[in-house]
Amino acid sequence: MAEAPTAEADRDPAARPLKVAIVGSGGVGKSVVSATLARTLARRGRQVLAVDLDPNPGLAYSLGLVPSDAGLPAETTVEVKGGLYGWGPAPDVDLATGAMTLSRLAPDGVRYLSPGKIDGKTVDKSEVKRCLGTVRLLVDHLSAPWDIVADLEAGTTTPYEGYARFAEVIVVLATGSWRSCLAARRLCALLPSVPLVVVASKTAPGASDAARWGLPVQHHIPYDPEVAAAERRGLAPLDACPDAPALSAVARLADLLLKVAP
Amino acid sequence: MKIVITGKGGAGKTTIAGALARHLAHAGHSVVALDCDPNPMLGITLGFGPERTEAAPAVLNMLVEMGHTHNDPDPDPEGLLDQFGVEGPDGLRLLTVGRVEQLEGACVCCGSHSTTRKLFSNLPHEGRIVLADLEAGLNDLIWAHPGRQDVVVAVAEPSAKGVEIVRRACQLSETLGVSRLVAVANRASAADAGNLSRITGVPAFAIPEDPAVAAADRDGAAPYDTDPSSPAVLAIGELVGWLGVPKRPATEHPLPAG
Repeated sequence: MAEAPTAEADRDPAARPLKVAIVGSGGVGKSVVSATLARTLARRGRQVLAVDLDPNPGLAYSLGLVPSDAGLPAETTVEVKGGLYGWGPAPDVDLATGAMTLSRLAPDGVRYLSPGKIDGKTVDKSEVKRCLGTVRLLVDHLSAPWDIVADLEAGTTTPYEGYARFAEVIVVLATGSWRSCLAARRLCALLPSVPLVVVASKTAPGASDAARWGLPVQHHIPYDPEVAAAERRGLAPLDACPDAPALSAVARLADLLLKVAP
Repeated sequence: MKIVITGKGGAGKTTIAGALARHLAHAGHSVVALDCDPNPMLGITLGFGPERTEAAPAVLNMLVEMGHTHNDPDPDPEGLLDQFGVEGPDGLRLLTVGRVEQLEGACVCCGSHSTTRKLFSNLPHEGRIVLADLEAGLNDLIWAHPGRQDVVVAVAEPSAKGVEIVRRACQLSETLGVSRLVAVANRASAADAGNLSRITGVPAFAIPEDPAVAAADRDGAAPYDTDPSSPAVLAIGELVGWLGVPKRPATEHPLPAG
């Protein structure tokens, strides 16, 4: 009997974990790219943590998980003076591995970590803050050799607030629209000085619309009606349309990120 | 009256807010378009053009620059509008709440969200329409805190995520006491709107997919200017009828009640 599971055996021991944040304005494809990237990396035998940093529902659908509004169990968090939003992990939660142990299993062996969602039932955000502060600390301190793929909220606010601080490479998505390119330029200006990979998303094949707004576009993901149809139904594109061209483009993005990451 | 536009990122909030403001101003209403997204773009869909949109002063940034601190009393919102509002077609005015890229040195805890709440709550709206285009997602809706007298327009593209966020936005708005709620199915069919109405329990209005809007988006232009008779722009004009806007523009000096 082989001791190690296949995932362990296939992994290149020399490979450094990839820590990537996905940012961009609304509707550019952040969740689809994050989820597909996470599952693609996992299928290559890597251990992957997909972090949902958006309090709105989204990433779970694209991963193929049953969406849940649940954040972290109450006993795993404590009020911390000076912690983010005044909260942090409980003393028995290991700072180095807590992000992994508090995550749940998603398809392809991806681990999914979520600070919970604004569920619409209450305007009180204290529950989301309790979990968000803790999740961010755990992601910042994760020291195990796991890949991290984090899906940020649309726009510039949370990147400005340091939500991508853990990242060693950041993907900035823009479509051909003037506004999403402007958002991408604003993001490039305020993000930490780690390698940024600007990706033109939902474009016509070979289109360089994004380039004309002064962005060094390094990769293209084509507009893909099959992905749009999956989104309409709330399904993970990798399950609904595994052969869709946009998904192969995300797989190539994974190669690029592994090359670019320090 | 006050109107907020909310919904998932990329659902079409800013496109709709821009064209809606133009329709209302053209009909003779006094309109204040409040751009609450700290990644402000509303100027573009209002037709100010990219340069004027970027140059528009943002309230929070200007206050920070002037050395205003959170210990100072809140500045008079009407004064802020007079000072930092930018005039556009038909007398409408754009007021930008904050611009994140220039916020160095600002205290995040009193960032653009609380400025949004103060301006949306305190800006006088007698005899005018304050139209607030919110940041993507539910968080900014909670910050804006619309109330009983206000109108909420929740926009979804026909995706499972967009529809779910609108369902939650409607639920939150009802919790806040909002009495007039309209769901909008954007880039969608009448059947999509019917589905959205069934899921949210509020009336839903369809705005069709429109290549003219996509073309304007690509160029950083306002669909209201580039193709005023395109299907989406016309539909946004019809949306006005769903919002309970007074038929005739209110007079400059409304008579006191009673």
